[in-house]
Amino acid sequence: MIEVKNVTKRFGEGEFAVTALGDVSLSIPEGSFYTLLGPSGCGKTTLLRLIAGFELPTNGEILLDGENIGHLAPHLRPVNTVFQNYALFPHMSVARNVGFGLEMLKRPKAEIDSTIEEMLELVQLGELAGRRVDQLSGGQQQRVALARALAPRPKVLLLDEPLSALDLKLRKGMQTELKRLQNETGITFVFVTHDQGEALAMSDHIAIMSAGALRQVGSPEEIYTAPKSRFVADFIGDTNIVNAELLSFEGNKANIRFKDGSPLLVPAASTALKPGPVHVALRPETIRIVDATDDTALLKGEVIDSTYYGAGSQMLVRLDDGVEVHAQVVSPHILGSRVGLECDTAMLHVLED
Amino acid sequence: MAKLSSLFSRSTGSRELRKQPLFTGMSWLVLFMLYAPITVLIVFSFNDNRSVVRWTEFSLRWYSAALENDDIRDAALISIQVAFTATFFATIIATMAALATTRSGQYWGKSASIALINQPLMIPEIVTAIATLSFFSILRHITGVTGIGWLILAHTVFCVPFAYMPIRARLTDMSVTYEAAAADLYASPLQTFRYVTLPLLMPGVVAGAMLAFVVSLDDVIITLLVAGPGETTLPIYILGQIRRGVTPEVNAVSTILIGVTVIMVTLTFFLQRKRK
Amino acid sequence: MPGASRISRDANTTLLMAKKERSRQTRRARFLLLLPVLLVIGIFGLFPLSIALVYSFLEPGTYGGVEWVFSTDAYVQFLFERDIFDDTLTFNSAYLQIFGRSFGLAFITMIGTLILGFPVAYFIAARPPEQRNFWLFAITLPFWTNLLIRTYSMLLIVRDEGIVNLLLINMGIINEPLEMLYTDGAVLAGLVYSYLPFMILPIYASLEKFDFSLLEAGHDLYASRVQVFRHIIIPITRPGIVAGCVLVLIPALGAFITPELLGGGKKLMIGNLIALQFGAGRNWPFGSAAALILMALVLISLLISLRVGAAKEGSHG
Repeated sequence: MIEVKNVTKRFGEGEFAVTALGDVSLSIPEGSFYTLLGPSGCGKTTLLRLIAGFELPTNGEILLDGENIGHLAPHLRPVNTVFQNYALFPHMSVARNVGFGLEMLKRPKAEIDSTIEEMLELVQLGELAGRRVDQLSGGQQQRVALARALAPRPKVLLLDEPLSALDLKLRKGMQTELKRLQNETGITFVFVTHDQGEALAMSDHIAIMSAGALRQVGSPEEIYTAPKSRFVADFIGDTNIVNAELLSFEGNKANIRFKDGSPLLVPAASTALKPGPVHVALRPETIRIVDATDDTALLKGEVIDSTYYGAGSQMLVRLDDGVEVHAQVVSPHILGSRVGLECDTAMLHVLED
Repeated sequence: MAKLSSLFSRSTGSRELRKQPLFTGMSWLVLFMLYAPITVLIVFSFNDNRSVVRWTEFSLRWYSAALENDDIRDAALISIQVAFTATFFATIIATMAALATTRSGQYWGKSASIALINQPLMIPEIVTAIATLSFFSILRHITGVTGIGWLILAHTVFCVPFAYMPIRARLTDMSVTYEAAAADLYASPLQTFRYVTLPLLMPGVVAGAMLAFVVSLDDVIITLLVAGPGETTLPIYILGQIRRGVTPEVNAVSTILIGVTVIMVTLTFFLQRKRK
Repeated sequence: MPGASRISRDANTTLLMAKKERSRQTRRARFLLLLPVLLVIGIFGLFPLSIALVYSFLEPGTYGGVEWVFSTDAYVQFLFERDIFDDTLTFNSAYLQIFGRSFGLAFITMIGTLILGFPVAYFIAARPPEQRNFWLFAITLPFWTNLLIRTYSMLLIVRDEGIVNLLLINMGIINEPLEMLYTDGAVLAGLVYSYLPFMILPIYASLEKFDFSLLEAGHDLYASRVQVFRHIIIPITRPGIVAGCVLVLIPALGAFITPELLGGGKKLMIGNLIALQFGAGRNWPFGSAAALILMALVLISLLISLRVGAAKEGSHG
């Protein structure tokens, strides 16, 4: 179990100092697939490097199973990394690369050899043991990097955007692979990516970051259906953000009203909001298009665009207050026609900002 | 617009624009001029005739004469001895210096250290030669130690910057990620150096060693002043012969020396080609 | 929560200690790595120069070497000749002439290498990348061969029985061999031959990343070829030109082999003068003084070149 406690990381001095991480705290459960997600510059890679030991935090602690490891050099931490550009040693064969960690730990040769074999089998590269690294394709190099990092059986495996250099098809394949590996080995995976689709597909937990701070932590479902802030709602999936008026709270549900509409009880990110204008997240696939005169319609607007993609259509509707909303529907509607939008109130979500 | 400007300039297309017409011709001329004298030397070393300009027939007699000449053999031996030893020490020193001054950010004394490492290159060789001679004469007097060690020491000093350059270049190009990966995989700093840094650095080290060797082999001025009796290196021998007059054996020996240099420099060049 | 803050204070202390330990280790490793080079070059490269300085203020020993007696004779001798009998000083321009010739030759060498070298550097930079490496290799290879041998080969060509004369006589252009050897011209030719790569490489370096499409832009704006050259190419190559001039001037000033072989003892340059004092001349103090004056000239040239390089940059802002 990894605990990050109030970790701050500043680079540079004085007025040129850059704060990459500002007082970040989180807990990574043992044996989970934990993803750090965010746009570039958000600090996710910095956090990963702090866990690996390539940087020391400016402040704060990093605990592994209760032990403070934040000040230790990388070679003293039972943590291994899969690098973005793999960093396979060019002057060593595949087998020697994979066995490198165990070699440095001075394990007996028999153990090293059998582990190398086992690891290469695990990533399905058994026949390539004797090859030189530059003879491998990108996907193969990636798997060697994985095998190399798994061979010493670390407590934690860190993956720094390992799939970003692969083409789409390989990526999808590797995503499944990684998930399988994590399940089989039971090792805690900490995965860094900027691709929200990847994060949703693979993770047990996602921590979304931006500008050196943690924005939201939760399971993929939670993050998708109950985003707390506009940033998160925007970042994950396709979402619409519409305006509404907050009237009051009933328990932890919010009483809101769309323009000219009747009050609705919907889930909210925070009960600390004051009555007044708020933003509501609305997923395109939860919207049903109805007649504008229908009284189940929550919002009304004009269809300004429609894109057919075979399985359905993506419609763009401009609401009365100017906000444009994407809706995913099965049958398209005529451009220019006035329609109503309706969805299950449980699918709406009031954001905290 | 383009059409109008083409009325004013005589050629169109960027390929044409690159060429300043005279420059191409001059370049080939310069290339010719650079190689012509050496080529003449090489060609006439194979000349059967004693005269260095009249070509009689192809012959290797001067080479065999040179190889049988005891003075030449001795001088060659001494040259190689000095070059090997100086190269050995210079390369070690230069490697350590390169490790300390490359990829290490700014620190107090860094620029000064680098300037010091390159110092032999910044001073005219004759000045270094007499300064070294003066200093060594004092040291020889004080310690009573004579022998070829002093010459080797003098060579080591000016070999260091030449070994330093390729090593530093190779180190700069080396991604730090490899060493990070090694540390990540439980290699202590010493293990990282031994199993990752040094092997990856090797081509640079070898290139540096070869450059140092060539430079030591070819040195004239410093050797001329610092060497004691019986420490005649090949270039010094050649100089002596030239002062007495042009002889064909000199051509042969010179050609051999050129050959060695060319081979080593070409190897260095290939070793330093950028790898990924 | 006092308990929590105590824990984090401990952790922060550990952190601080770890950081201090790391930088301490780094500094120690760095020092150990630099020690050999600092010792070797510091003691045997830099320090001897101060010995030369000291020697220049001593008296010459009878069989070479020095007598440890303070004297400024070496410097006086540079400009004046002391009459043996009545100890008066008369101005002697001989040594000044040697220095003058050296400076003149070195300067003309610099110009010569610039005129010959600039086109070559430009030409190479304009080549497609694959060809460039070949050209660079071809240009620098002769530089690595022994300077003595290279100069000797020049000798073979320009001497009375040399190739040039042979060709000219055979072609009937002249009857008597041209006396090219042992002239200032021969020394000049030798110097240019030796140091040409030193001018080509820095200029090439300044052109290496040059975007040649800028030339198109210039032409598009009605600039003539000459104007483009003046206003685009020259400013870009200025740093390279300055560097090349320095790299040629300084060794040329201290040249020894070239004037020795091609000047034949008649056309002395500073290098020969100095070497002579440590050989047959048996006047080490004077040799040291001459060497130090040479160093001073070198430093002055360096400073001037820095000024030139910097000043022009400013005026183009």
